[in-house]
Amino acid sequence: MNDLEKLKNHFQDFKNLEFINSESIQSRIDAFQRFCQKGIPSLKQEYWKYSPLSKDLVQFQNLKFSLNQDKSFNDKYIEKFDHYKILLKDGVLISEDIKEEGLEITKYKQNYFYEIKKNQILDFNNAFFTPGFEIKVDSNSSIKKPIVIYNYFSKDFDGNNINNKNFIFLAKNSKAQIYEKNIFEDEKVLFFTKNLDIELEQDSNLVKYYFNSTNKNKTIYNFIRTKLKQNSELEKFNFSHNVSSCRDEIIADLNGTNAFVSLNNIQHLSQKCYHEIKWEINHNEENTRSSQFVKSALHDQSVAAFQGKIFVDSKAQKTDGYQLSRALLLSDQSKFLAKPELEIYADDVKCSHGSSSGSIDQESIFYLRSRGINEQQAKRMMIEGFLAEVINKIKNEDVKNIFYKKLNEINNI
Amino acid sequence: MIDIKNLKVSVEDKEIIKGLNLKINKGEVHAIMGPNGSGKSTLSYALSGKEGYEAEGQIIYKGENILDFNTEERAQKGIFLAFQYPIEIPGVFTNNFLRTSLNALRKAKGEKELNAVEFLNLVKEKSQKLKIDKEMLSRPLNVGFSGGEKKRNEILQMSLLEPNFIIMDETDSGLDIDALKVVSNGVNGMRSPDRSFLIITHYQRLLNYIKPDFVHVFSDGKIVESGDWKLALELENDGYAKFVN
Amino acid sequence: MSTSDEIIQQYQQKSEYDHGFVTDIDTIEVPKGLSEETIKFISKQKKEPQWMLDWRLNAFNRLQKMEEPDWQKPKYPKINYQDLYYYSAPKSFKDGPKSLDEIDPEIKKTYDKLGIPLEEQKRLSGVAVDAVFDSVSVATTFKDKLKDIGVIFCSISEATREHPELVKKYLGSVIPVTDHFFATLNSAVFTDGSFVYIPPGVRCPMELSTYFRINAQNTGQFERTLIIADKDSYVSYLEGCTAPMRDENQLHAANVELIALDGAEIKYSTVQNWYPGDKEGKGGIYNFVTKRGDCRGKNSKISWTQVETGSAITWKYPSCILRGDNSQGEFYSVAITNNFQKADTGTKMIHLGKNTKSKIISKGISAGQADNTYRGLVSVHPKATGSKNFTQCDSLLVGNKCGAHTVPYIENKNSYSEVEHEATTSKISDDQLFYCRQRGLNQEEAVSLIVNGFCKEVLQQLPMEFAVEAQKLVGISLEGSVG
Repeated sequence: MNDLEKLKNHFQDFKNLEFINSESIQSRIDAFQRFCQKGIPSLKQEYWKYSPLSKDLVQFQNLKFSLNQDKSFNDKYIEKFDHYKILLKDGVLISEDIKEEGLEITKYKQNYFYEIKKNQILDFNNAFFTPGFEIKVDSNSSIKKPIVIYNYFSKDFDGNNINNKNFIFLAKNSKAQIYEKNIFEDEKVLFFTKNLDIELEQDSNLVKYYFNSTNKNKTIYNFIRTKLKQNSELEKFNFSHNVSSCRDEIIADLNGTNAFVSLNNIQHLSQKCYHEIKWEINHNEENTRSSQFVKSALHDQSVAAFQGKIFVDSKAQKTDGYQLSRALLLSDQSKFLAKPELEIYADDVKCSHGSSSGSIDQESIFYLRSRGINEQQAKRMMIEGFLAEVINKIKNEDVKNIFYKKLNEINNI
Repeated sequence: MIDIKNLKVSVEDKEIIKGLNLKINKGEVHAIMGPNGSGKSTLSYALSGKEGYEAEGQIIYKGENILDFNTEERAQKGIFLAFQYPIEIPGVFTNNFLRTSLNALRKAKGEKELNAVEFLNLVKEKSQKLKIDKEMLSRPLNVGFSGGEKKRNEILQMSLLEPNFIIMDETDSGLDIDALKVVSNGVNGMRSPDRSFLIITHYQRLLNYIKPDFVHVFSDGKIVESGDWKLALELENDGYAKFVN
Repeated sequence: MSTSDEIIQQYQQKSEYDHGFVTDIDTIEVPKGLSEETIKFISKQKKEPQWMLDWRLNAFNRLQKMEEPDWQKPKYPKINYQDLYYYSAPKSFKDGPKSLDEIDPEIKKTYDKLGIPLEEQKRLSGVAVDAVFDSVSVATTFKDKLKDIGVIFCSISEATREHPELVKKYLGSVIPVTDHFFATLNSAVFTDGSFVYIPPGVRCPMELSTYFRINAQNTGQFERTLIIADKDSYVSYLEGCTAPMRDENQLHAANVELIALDGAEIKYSTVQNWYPGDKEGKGGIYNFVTKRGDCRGKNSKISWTQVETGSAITWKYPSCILRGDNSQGEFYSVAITNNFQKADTGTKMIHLGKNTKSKIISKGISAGQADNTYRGLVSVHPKATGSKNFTQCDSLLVGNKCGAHTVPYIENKNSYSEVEHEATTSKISDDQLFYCRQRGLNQEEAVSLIVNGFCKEVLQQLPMEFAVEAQKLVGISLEGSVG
């Protein structure tokens, strides 16, 4: 990817592909131009400081885009509880449209895309995307069953780049729960970008869970932009386990009074895994609240980065912004990098952040061992307890169980 | 001492006190009792000139209408409010605060300001009298104080500043019996012919320790009944329902 | 009853800068502009040895290839470096001061007005002062007394002549010549500043202090300070600064290098009160300073304390390189910005040695339309086993036209090390103000009391002589702006 000329040729071929509709084509061309102007992300750019992407992307000599026509999906991946399914196989939406109970799920239909000034990978995504899903919830509807999104990356895929765009819209006074998970079938090299826009109208409520687990040689970029109106709420829980290289980015705009956003993430990493979180919360109106909570357990040579920013506009009096990141460094070679940032222009606000990193508390280990628990087990208990604090906040019992089960499983290896 | 005439107080354009008349003579102790939300705290703030409490009518204190005086001017003239929830100010040591306050009052009265030694002697004397642990003085103002400690600190300030008119806003709330005794002994020790008290309270309990000359029932921004301290007992037995429509 | 807005306005109208007078004396100035000629002129004025001139010219050559950084939050109009004077000295100091008697009475008066009498006998508290007026050091007091115990305290110009072996060895060893644009600029054109050397085992018996004063117009001040604490020695050093009120912005780009060898401790305190500009944001000093300490030896300690109330723009990060095992770094800061002032300040703590400790306490107060940013880096390297950092950043906002920002970078690469960071933002609550006023304090007194309480942890780090002054300064700086 360090050779822009190659990429330009690639884009020429790409934009002639059949599935690209004529309405989106100009937007794609504009986006690609912006990408070329900004170039490949580098560590010197503040926006990509601490990012695994800036190191990964230069290694991509050739990007190969491909469409997998096969629509089969192995049932063993399907969750056991009752739910609505959205299936994406190698970036292509293969599940049927759903229309019931105030819920509508279709293919992604938007044709015009915004720009984030310093974010060229979003431009890249805008240029090269394959349409993903669109979820729309009608006003006053409370969706009973959770919606489960399966991002399935099959072993039959013969390209090395997939880009998706998705959209979630909750109308007034509606409610939904979404659980999203990634399934990787092999260890092929892949660069995957995903853009998800979430719009929450007045009094709506969305809870979203994201499970991103074990993968090798995958470079993943998740970019979420969400806008919240008056009294709306978004709660998000991410479980990032042994993702080889991933950046999760969220920009949340609290545009109505009493809007609330809560972002939670577990980073459980080993070997050379590198996971980066970049969150930016913009308090644009009075009485808005936000909470950011990150816990990282880092084994081997893994690296976790956390960049969380709370911005408070001068209008946004009575803002309550909270942020906490804690990391356990479990090996000599693991690293924790953090940039917890506050940018505040209103005086009547309550904002705080805390960040800590260090090893497991030896006193506690000693205490447990004095009660007859061996060291290994004591450590496991400590790590599990440390991470469980995030999971405990989950309200959906099915998802909570999945997360707990997974935590238990990985901790006992 | 103080004569309140047709006092109306609004907060954010909402009228809370709706024409209050109350005259307190020198040396008298008055208690105002009322249900929650009747505007009792609003009264204490309005009397001490808190910003945001728009008052009309008259508050004649020592012969002059103090309605246009700001908070510190009233304090310098001898009005003291014992707070229901004393405010925490990190980094400001209690000692330092007390001295700054005392000297501000002395300066306003044209008296000599006290130096550190004179002040410490005075505080020592006062706190011994009130049985207050001096250790409290070297901590930041009210920060990390228990409820009881905060209230004791208020009483210490009161005895140090020697005000003429004292408003006690729910001083008994959250106090155990020992703290209540310290507080009421402090107050009783300060009763004198030159000093008046206005005790604002929800319960009659405090009035067992500080016996008022007059008791008023306060409801919906007005005094609806007045009597002597027996009225407090009546309220304790029968509740407020009788006086509140 | 006045509303808080009205009170804020009243305060704003009161803003006065006490040190804004100009001293009327004849000065020698080098012609405007940055060039080899200018540098040669400065070096000649200072009677510097050839190696020093070569060192400067090397920096100047490197500067040609460098660009001004622009990542900081406060932006400023482009500085025309060819339109500045790089050297200004009172004429009477052509050959440098020999004794206090030779000092121009006008300058003596200036320092008296500032409350820094240069007459040694007038000093009650035993503080030795090096006074820097524009580009030259005008007086160093108590020099002989210090000499008796082996302490060298003189101007850096004198040190290049008298103690070349020390200057050669240590100058630029903490801040490399090519560190960044302003540091390199300083290396090329630095004019004067203090030099301190504390011999092994000596505990310097008095506070050493430099007082900086910018007087001349259109003049950049580029002082350079070098402090070396040899094994097991101790020194406490204070620095104060003022400048006259002028409409144009003036540049101050100093370099300060501290070196602490095994077991040595350096305590460096600054009370910075450069002219901040007027209420509309016109004029004021650009205070772009590089300060860095190197805990080179085992068990050494460097502690920075700063009270930053002046300057139109303050842009500095006094830092510690914790190289020696068990070394310690501290940074205590109060930064107050009012009207249109801007501050972007903080520290870097670089943990390289084992069991190194650092502590950062930063208090930012922002009023009027000012912006106040804490920016800092705590980096624990893989070999710095057993290291610890604690950081606390608190911001206080007064009024809703100002900004308070916290931008910490935290890099922990050692699992046996602990890094902790906490930050809060708050305002002076109406309840706190009401409570103080109900006890008879007026609004100004109440604000000063509360803000001083907010800054307590930092102010109590200052040596006694400065602490009282700093407390008053905190009150005064905010009178000018708010509450």
